[in-house]
Order: sequence, then structure tokens, then C-alpha cells
Amino acid sequence: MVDSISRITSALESARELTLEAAAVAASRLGESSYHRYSQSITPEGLRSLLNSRNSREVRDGMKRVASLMACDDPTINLESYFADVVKNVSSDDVKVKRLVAIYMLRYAEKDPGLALLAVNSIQRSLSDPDPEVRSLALKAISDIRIPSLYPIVLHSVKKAITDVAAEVRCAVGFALLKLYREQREELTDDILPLLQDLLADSDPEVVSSAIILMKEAFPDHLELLHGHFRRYCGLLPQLCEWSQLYLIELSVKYCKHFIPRPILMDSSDAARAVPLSDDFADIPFAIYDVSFHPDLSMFLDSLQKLLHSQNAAVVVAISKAYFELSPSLTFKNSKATDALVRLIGGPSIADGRALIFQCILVYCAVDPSTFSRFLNKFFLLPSDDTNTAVAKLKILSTLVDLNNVKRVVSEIKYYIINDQRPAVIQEALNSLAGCGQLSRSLSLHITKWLLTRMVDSISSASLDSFVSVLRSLIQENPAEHLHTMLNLSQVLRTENYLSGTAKAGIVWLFGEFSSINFTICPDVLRILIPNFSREPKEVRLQIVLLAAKLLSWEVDNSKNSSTEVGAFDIDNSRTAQMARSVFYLAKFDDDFDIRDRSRLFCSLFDNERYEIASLLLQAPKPSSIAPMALNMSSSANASSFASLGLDPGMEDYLSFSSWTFDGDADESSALRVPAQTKDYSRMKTSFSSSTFFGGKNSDDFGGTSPVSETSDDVHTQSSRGFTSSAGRKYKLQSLDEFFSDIPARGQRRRRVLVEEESSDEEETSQEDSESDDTSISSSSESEAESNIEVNT
Amino acid sequence: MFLSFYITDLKNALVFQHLLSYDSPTFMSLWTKLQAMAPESPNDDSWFKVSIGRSLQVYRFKSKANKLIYWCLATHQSNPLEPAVFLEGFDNTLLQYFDKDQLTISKMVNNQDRIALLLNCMVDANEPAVTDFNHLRDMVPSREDLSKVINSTASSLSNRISQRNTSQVLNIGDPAKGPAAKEKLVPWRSAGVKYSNNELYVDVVETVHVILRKNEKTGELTSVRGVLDGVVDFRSHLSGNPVIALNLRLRGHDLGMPALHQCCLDSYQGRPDQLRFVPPDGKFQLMHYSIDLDSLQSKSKLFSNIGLVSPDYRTELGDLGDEFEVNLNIAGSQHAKVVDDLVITLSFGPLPSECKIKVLRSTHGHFENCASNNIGKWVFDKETPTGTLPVLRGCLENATREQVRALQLSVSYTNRGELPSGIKVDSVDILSGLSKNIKPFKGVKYIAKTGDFHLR
Repeated sequence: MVDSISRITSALESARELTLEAAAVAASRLGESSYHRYSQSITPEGLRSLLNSRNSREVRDGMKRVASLMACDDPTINLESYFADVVKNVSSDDVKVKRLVAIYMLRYAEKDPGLALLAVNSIQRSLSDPDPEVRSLALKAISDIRIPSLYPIVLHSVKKAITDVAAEVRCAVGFALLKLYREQREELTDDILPLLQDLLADSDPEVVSSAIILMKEAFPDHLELLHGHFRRYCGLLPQLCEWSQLYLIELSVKYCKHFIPRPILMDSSDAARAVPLSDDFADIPFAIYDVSFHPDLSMFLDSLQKLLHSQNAAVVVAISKAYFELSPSLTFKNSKATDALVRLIGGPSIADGRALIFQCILVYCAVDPSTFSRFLNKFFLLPSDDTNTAVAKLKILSTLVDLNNVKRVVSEIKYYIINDQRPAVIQEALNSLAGCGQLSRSLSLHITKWLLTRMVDSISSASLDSFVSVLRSLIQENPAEHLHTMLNLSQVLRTENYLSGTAKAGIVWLFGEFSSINFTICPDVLRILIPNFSREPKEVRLQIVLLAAKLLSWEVDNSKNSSTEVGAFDIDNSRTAQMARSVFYLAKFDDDFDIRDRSRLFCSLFDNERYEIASLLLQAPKPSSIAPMALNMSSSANASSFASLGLDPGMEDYLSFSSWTFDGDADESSALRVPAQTKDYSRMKTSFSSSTFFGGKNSDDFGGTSPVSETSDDVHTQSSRGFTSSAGRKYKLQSLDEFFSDIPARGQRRRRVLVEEESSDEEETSQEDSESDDTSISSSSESEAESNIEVNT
Repeated sequence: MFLSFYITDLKNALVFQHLLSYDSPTFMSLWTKLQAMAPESPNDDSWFKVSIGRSLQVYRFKSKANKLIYWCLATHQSNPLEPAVFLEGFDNTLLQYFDKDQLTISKMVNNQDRIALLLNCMVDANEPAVTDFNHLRDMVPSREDLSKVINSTASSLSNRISQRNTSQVLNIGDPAKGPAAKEKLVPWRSAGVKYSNNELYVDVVETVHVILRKNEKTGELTSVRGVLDGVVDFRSHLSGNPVIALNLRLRGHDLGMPALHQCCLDSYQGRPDQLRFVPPDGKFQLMHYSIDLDSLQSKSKLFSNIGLVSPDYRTELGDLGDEFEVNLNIAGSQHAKVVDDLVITLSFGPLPSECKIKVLRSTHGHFENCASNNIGKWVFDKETPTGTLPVLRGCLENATREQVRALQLSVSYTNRGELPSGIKVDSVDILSGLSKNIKPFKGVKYIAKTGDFHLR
């Protein structure tokens, strides 16, 4: 009977437990949306009381609400007013709450330095927390507070943390130093540099990663810091975090140029001929050559090979840039860096940064097209490419095009011109087409013919202007060949009525220019244009006036050349002069003042027989409208040489590089890189080993041990590890609170709540003890200095 | 140097913002500034970077999987690619963290605190800091939501209840960590991972980008440009620190320079078909490869590698020459019984307004006309069985022969069970690190998708 009752009771008990659990689940885990609704309903006053609550769950709810208020742009609630309520929770046991407070402080601490300083004390206390995560968070939080009076304390904490056993704490040191440096550059440089050296010498890749970020941001010119580590870093590179890989590659490229001799190029056919690599990428005197690298340089370049498989696009681009800068084009081509770049751009790109990669490739191609010539197909447009990408691809195509592949490229580009809707793309495609046309005479004729038919057929007039400008550039290139094209154009002028003003003006202008090549057909064009002068749009009228003036000027010159007598030109009997007169006359009554003005100018020029001035004005040679894509990387590439490529300004800065400055010989260079001592803090860890520092941890066996044994164990270790001074007083790290209160607050906290929490509590205290012991053993004077400083704050 | 991060929906309404200092502008003020500085760019879809002020830049990244836009404000970067790549990585991290294929706005709003915590870890001193996912998850423990709890098998639930280990009921599928987190073996794997159900899944997803051209005279199809974009996704729920060997059957394809996850970088021997690695815990992208279809020598080889659906068309049919016919060949396959969500988009060049696409007859699906009169969609049922030959016959009313000849097709579908390239996972072996008596469940999935698949 009793047995059965106890069984029922236990069943009920477990049922009750289950229900409680379920309730907790219902409250939190199930249904984020319902939680969100609850969170939304918290009133401003309610929020304050939640934040001040003693219940950790309520504090958590409050902090979550604060976080979501920070995340949404809600002007109705002034979060700054909760500063004190939020910041006091920094001493919470919950890491998540701590982190949220840190986020809040990051944003608002500057606004209220006085209150922010209140939190410093608790943060400092958690700097000696047994949990490395808490320590690193505390370091991060304290360095995030931008208050000048705090910097000495931060610097001090950093100096202490740099010898921390846990790598993540040392890693946080790097970031903390960076923040300090940003706030107070000059004053702290001398303090930060030696610490940076320590970090760089660290054996842990994670710490090196943060050191490199610090170095790249704060001391990019102190390349000598890399001397002792250069060879080690080459091996370490794949283990660093991806962003540091990126920065290290960039720093190392600069380093190589400063401290390693240039690679030597040797002619394969004649071994005696050897020259160092020039800064000009394309300037290589031999057709086939071998390259000899300095061992350290080749080690660096080899170490990059593996990273070509990186998933981070920026890393791959940085590697390609390293090869581009440090090795001759043949090595670059064979390095697989090109393949990796091409992999990045395989699919279509939709408004992401991929266009920048194309710009990068464009620069490589402009310098030496052979590097990417085998990937021609990859630069054909995909239908979903965004505008930036499409434009960059077309530019690359025009650098890669040669007589072997031009047929394919031209047919593709024609397709884009017909089918694409975006004016920028059509414009660029036309430019590329003009580039193709410059390759050979027959192509040029073919393309102009095609453009003419397109011009006549196309319904939309938006792109007609660009058609004309491309035609113009093609005809300008080789005007004598294009008589037939010009005749066709005159046909177009006469018959097509839907030509837009600018397109028509362009054609008229073209005839003005063409008059220098073949004068005979031009006056007839003018004759056709005059009757409709008043009905033409403004731009066309202007060009007709100009055409008339040009023709007249040529006529004068021609007559001068045929009959050598001075002033023989009979202006009254010349047909051209009569036509010009009538045009100028018509223009006198124009609505547009510019046209009136110009006609007056030309009239007075010709009436006063200032023919020299007229021919200077009107017969000046015009530059081609489409610049070639080839790029000359002489001495040092500067931004101006990129101008013709139309790159993103940021990318221009990124791709322009310095020239090679090292002048010494190979041995001298090698001697610089004697490996420096590394600092391995894990050795420190093993010296304490399982018996001491990790004693608490190792005795914990997946939460299975009973609380009783735990406590006794703790007492035991504590007594054995306590370091007692001669005065009998125990040295321990104290925070300001403890210093003033002088009552060990931990005693009461120890035996509370549930089993699991207790065990973690135990661990915490035991480790805290051991850590404080550790510092006091190493330097008890330092710990005294520490407490002094704390008192000062 | 990053100054602030924002996430908005596609209509530029704020979902989340994270400001790194008191001076960083809120999204509202940034938006006003953007509109004042560059009035056309906020509405233009294709920009990713805009300079405001002398050294301030706004970067924008439009997520591919989610209907979200990520923004960040940064000071002048030495490498402009950096913020763009960071935002893309952030998008991936969020997807991994919440373990979803797509993030909804409400999910983001509900978890603003977590996203803030993640960003707080990912950015330190205004520079990118921790980006490794396992490390991030250790710092910001993720929470299983309702669907996870329900999805995890009822049996394991009841098992645990019967063991009276109620504290673990809530940790289903979550790595149960011992209080003493052991030392990490490799930096990318959380320490002390322990599962009761050991599982690993390999998903291979290939996206076909191919542009075919139909020769006007001979009617032959040739490829202008073709590439298969492949991703090997891996999901590991394994205890301890196992070493895994993944062998692929490549069928003679050259994967070029695949992008590999950090975990197999060090042991990579230049053989993408033999990968050895200690996986990070949870889901990650193991490999990203691309197969160049342009380099394939024969045409038959090309067509056997562009997936199950091959399109073709004929135009200028009928008495007036204004009819056209679209033929599809959905190849039969042992592994894929159906093709999902097949849609063929027909488009002509710009047409005068009196022209209209009219369908005469079709064997499958239905036809939808779009707002502009030169585009129409042939939409199939949810599932179309493989081994069929659907045909659509239609005409373009009041159009000339030239206008009909400008027909272009774009194809979109997905299918499971077979990849266009025919690549298969040969074996996934656990070499060491897992105790012998555990037999993990292994799953392999193949998905084919289309990206830019055009016939012109």
C-alpha cells in the first residue's frame, strides 16, 4: 500500500516536473512570434522595472527588448534614458546579457561618460573571470568605451591580458590595442608597438590574426616587424582567419618589395642573358624565359597556391594581385590564380561586388591580354548580369579580341546591341564593336555597314546617338576607305525622318569632318539640308551652320593651293560661298542665341577675309572618341593611367602599386629574416598542467559528479594552492567593490540553487582563485600595482 | 572601418540596424542622405557601392536566397571588395545560424537580439573579427525553435523521458556539451560535440548556366557559353572529432580550382574527388566548383551535360509564316522520375501593339501572357514526368516573319536525384575519431537547378 502510494507520488512528482518544463518551454522556446508580441507590449515603465528586476529571466527579457529597440529605428522611445538601468546589468552572470549590455555601451557610452564609468568596475572584475570567453568579452567591452580618462586603465588591462593563457583573450588584446590606437595615436604608439611585437610573435594563429589586423590598420609602414616572422607566416597563412589572410598577403607583398631582391629573368635560349624584373609588367625582353626567385619570395608565392581554394573572394583577388605584382606575366599566367579568378566569376552576378573582380581582371588584361585570352568565353554576357558587370565584361572582351577570335566576339556583341535594353550596356557594346573594327580594314567596313542598317531599322532612337559616335570613330580611323559609308549616310539624312536631333547633328558633323578627306560630296549634302533649315531641331541647325563654315574654309584653302596667287579666291562666284551665305543669313533670324552668335562670328570672319583664323578654328584635327584599352604600366601605375578603363575609384586605389625598392643582394636580404623567438603561452598552460589550473576542469565529468564531492575537492585544491605572504595575508586580485567592502561576498553565494549551476559556480571560484594565485606568484608587485590603480579610479 | 550595418527588405524598409558608435547614422538619416546625394541610385537595382562624402561609402548587398538587402556604411577601404564579401558572408552566417533555406522578415524581427549579438562577435574594433561559424555559435548559442522540436523523432523524445533525463528533452538535435569543454582539435570545430543521433548529409547542388544559339540556316544548336555551378553542402552531426573521407565520381569532369572550406584546405592534394577533413559541426559549404562546358569537345557531350530538359523551336510555320513550335525533350532518367516547376519563357523582340502571342495547342501545362505583349510563359504542372516530349504550337498574330524569327526561350526547372554533370558521391567514410559502435546515418541528395538557361 505504502509502496503504491509512494509510486503514485513519484509519478505525480515527475509529471509535475514535466509540466513545469513544458510551461517554461511554452514561455520561451515555442513560438518566437508570440514572444515577440509579448516583447513588443512591454511599456517604457515596464521596461525599466524589468531591467531593474532581480529575476534574471526578467532582466533577460528587458535586455532583449532594449536590443530590439536599438535594432529598429523607433524615434518614440529614447533609449539613452535607460542608461543606468541597462548598464547596471553588466555584472549579470548571463554572458548573453553581458554581451547585450556591451552592445548598448558601445553605442551610448560616449554620450554619458559619467554613468559609463560606473560600469567599468564590474567589467574590470570580469577581466579575471575563469571563463576565457568572459575575459575576452570584458576586454572587448572595456576597450569599446570611448572615454579618454579610461585609456590608461585599458592599456594596463591589455598589458596584463597579453600573457593570458587563453588564445581568445590574447586575440581580444589585438583588437583592444587597435581601438586605443585609433583614439590616441601619437601618445600611445610607443606603448603599443612592443605589444604588437609580442602579439606577432605569438604561436597561436588566432592571436597572429588579430595582430595582423592591428598592424594593417595602425602600422602598415612598420614592415620591419615582419622580419623575424616572415618565413613562419608563410606556413601559417592557411590557418589564419580569412580576413587576416587577406591583410597578411597585402602586407607581405609590400614587404617583399622592400626587403627581397627582384626576381631575375633568364633567356631560355641564352643562359647568359639575365635581367631583373622591371616594374613595367609587359616589359620583358625575351620571348621565352626562366625566372629565378629569391628563396623567400618563392616560398611566399608557393604558400599562396593553397589559398587559391579559399572561399573568400577577396583573398583570391589579393593573391592574384600578389602574383601580378611580384612575378613576371608568364608565372602569373601559370599560377592558377587566373583559374581561381575565373571560377569566382562563373555564374551571373546580381548587384553584388562581383563587378569589382571584373574590373580587376580588366586591369590585368589591359596590361597583358595573354593572361586571360584562353577564358574569352567566360566574358560573354549572361542575361541576368547586372549593368556594372556587363559593362566590365564588354571592356574585357575588347581587350582580349584579336584576329583569331574576332568573328565570334563580333557576332556576340551584335547580339547584345540588338537585344539588350540598358543604354549603358549598348553604349559599351558599341564601343567594343568599334574596337573590333580597328583590327582590320574589312572588319571596319563590315561593322560600319552593319551599324548603318541597324540605324535605319532600329525603332528606338535612344541609342542612335551612340551609333553615330561609333560610326564617327570608325570613319575617322580610316576615312579614305569609307566613301561608300558616307554616301549611305547622306542617303539616311535625306530619307529617314525619325532620326533624333542629336543623331542627325552627328551625321552632319561627320560630313564637316569628312570634307577634309573628300570634299566633292559635301557641298551637295549642304545643298540638300538648306531648304529644310528652319524645320530642323536646334542641334542640327547649329551643325549645319558649322558645316557651311567648314566647307567654305576648305574651299578657300583649296583654291589657294591650286592657284598660288594671294587673294585669288573669288567669294562672289563660289557656289559654296553662296550656300554658306544663305545659311548664315537664315541663322541670323534663329530663335537660339548660340546659333545667331556663331553665324555672326563666321560671317565676320569670312567677310573680313580672315581665312587663316577660320581654318585654324574649323580645320583642327579631332581626337578619336574611343580610347584604346591597352594600359601601359610604366614605372609605377598611377590612377591617371587607369582613367581610360573607367574603374571604380576605390578599385583604382587598390590596384595601383608601388615600385620595387630593395637594392641589396640576396644574402643581405636573407640575413634579415632570421626567425625570431615565438611566444608559446600554451607551454605556460602545461607547466601548471592538469594538477593546478585545469584541476577544477578535469575533475568535472560531464556534470555527473555530486555536489558534495565537488565542494570538498574545491576546498582541498584551494588550500593547497593558496599563496600566503609572510604577513599571513592572502594576495588576491580585488576589484573596487571587494576592496571597499572587504567582505568575501562569494561565501554566501556558494551553496544556492540547483545542482548544475552550483557546479559551474564552484568551478568559477576555484579557478578565479588559482588565477589570482598565478599572477601573485609571477609578480606580486604587479598585483599590488593593479589594486592601486583600481583605487585611483 | 565599418561604421554601421543595416538590413532592409526589398522595399528598403528597415528590418535591423546595428550602429557601432553614437555618431553612426540611423538608417532613416542614411536613406535621406542617399537620396539627396545620389537621387537615382536608391531606386536603381544594380548598384552595390555609393560614395557619400569624402571618405564614406555605402555598400549594398542583395541576398540571393533571402528577400533582404544588406547595407553597411564604411570609411574608405583599401580594398573595395572587402565590405561586399563581408556582407555576403554575413548573409550566409545568418542562414546557417538559423538553419533555414530562406529567412523571413518576421524571423529577423523576432531575433533582432541574436543578430546583434552575432554582429557584435563578427566585428571588433570596426574590423571583421570572428567569422568562423562554429566559433560564432559557441559564442552565441543558438536556440532550437518549435519546428525542430516537433521534427525530431518522437521516439527519441519518449526515450529520454523514460530515462527521466528531463533536462535533456530540450536539447534534441543540439550538441549536448559537457560542462568541461575540451580543447579544440581544429579551430573550425566546436570542442566537445556530442550527439545521441549521429548523422551526416551530403547535398550536391548544380546550377546550369548555358546559352545556346540556333543557327538560322541549318537549325543546328550550338553553345555560346556554358557553365555548371556546383556546390557540395555538408551537414554533420557527429560526436567527437571525426575524420571524414569523401570520394566523388567525377565522370571525367575537370573541376578546375574549386573553392574549398577551410577544413580541407590543408589536406588538399589537388584531387577534388578525394577530400579528407575534420568537419565543422553543423551545416557548411564544403566545396564550390564550376565545370566549364565550353571546353567539351563534342556536341553530344555538351547536350548530355546540360540537364534533363533540352529545348528547341521552329518558327515561320503555317500558311502566313507567323506560327512557331516549341519542342522540349525531357530525357528519361532512372534516378529522377519527375522534373519540378518547369517553366518556359518565350520572348520576342519589341513588337508593335497589335501583335499578340496566341497558343494554338499544347500537350502539357498552360500558357500565361505577360503584361508586355512580347513575352509569354508556358507553365507546366508542379511535376512533369521525365521521358516526355511536350510540344507547344502557337502563333504571333499580325507579325512579320522577321518578328517571329526573333523567338527566344529561357528554361527554368529543378529536379532531384540526378545532376546535369552526372557527378555522384561514391562514398563517405569516417576514417577515425568516432567510436566503433556508433553507426552514423548517412544521406546523399542531388539537386539540379537552372540559372541562366537560354536558347536564342
